[in-house]
Amino acid sequence: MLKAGSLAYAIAVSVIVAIICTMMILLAYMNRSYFIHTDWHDRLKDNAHSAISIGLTSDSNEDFQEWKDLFEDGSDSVWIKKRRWGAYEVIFASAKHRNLEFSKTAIKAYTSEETKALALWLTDRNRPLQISGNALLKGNCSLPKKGLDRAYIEGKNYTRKELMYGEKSLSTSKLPEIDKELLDYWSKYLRKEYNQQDSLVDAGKMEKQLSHSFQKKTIIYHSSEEIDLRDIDLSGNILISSEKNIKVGEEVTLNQVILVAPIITLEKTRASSLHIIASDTVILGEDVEMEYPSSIIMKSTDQVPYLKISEGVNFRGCIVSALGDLMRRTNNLSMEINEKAFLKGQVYCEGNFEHMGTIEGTVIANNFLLKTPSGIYENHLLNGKIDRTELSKNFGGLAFGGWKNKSKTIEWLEL
Amino acid sequence: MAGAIKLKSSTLVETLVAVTVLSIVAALSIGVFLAISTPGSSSGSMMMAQQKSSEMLDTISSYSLTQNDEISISIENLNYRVSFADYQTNVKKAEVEVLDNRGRLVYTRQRLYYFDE
Repeated sequence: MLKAGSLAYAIAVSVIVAIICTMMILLAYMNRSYFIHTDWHDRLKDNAHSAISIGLTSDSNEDFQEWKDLFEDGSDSVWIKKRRWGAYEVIFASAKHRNLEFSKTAIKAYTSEETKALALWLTDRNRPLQISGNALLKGNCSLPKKGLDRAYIEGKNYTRKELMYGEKSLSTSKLPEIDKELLDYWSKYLRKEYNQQDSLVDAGKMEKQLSHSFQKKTIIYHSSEEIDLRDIDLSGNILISSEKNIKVGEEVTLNQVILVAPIITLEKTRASSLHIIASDTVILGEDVEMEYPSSIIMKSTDQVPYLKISEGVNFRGCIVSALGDLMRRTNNLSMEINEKAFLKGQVYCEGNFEHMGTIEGTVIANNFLLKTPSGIYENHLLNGKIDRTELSKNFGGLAFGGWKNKSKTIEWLEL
Repeated sequence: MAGAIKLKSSTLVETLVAVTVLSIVAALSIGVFLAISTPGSSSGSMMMAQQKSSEMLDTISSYSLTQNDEISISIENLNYRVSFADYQTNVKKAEVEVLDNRGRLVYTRQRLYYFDE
């Protein structure tokens, strides 16, 4: 004879025990799943990081994209993509495992021992550099044999005690070479010779707001006419190209976008990071702001290119003005920096350079030219400041021929 | 009644108690078994190894890379060892090996680093 109460008691206890057992098994399973998931996430992160490291070593001048096995065949495959981006390079790496994916995008630039403390490198054209007013040279300078001299220009004497503050060395008659492949690469884009990683879209179909990953093909918004950019918000793997000119208004948001055109004008634009490729004229209007790592590359085709940096401009990055075969004596300015403009980074100028503003960084120039109402002065610097001590020694910028360039990641992108 | 089973109330209670005790012991055994047999919950040591390995890989110095300076530390009965090897020009491979106190390899991770001397 069984008592019903006892049976119910036994069943209740068994059910409770069964529930506890099930919960424990579930807990263990969830723990295990969580561990495996986070472990794979960490491993994919490691692999993407490793792929970026491999991309940094690549000295290939060509853009590339490839799968690579990192450690063992098939189990650690990563996708690496590298392409030039303004004066810099973008490396995209992606690691996948089933439905998990981790990707990283880095901007690569160069640093070298030669540029760590270099404020000014001026070609020796058998003339001294004459400085006047409140001009400042702070940092190491490679100067012509005839050195530095004080000058009296426009009623102004040189006001500082020392002519320069740093170590002096001799320059040569030939400007250090900029990476020729960089100039050739962007010259092709100026000639509308795009590469296979690009996707050409009519500029009339430009989105008002778009963030485009470097994982995908580069979108090239192209027009044979003028492009006037207003009320847009673009970021990432986007290039805007015009066969005539591009105007950028003040209510425009651009981040990592490249502009390619013979003539480019920016009006009070505030860009997170912007890259400009032009062959004729670039005007940075008043109060334009371009954050690091921005770049301007001017490559002449049939005339001396002209870059004007206006009052209130705040530019951070690298500027290259290359003449190529047009390097000859001329009174045309290649680059003009206003007294109230501020630049932080590297400036490379093969033409005549009128500098009256402030540069915290390195200037590598062929010739300073000063145009005033009373005349034109060759190799004169009036009020222009160049201070290398205010820029990090390991600043990532341009690669120069003959100098020991080291790659470095200068920014991680969320694109 | 012919063929009917008669059980004493006290026997039934004893049986039920025995079943209950057995069930609890079985449940605890399963719990202990799961705790020591699955990587995700083995006393949290795998989680710890994973987390610490990530920290070590994130904080490797350029000095360690250039000098191939092995790192070895011991935390909560786990020994962490980071070793370096050349992978290709200007790239080093760092490998973290985690061993338990019996010297068994319980966890491993590897990552490549770019360096330029």
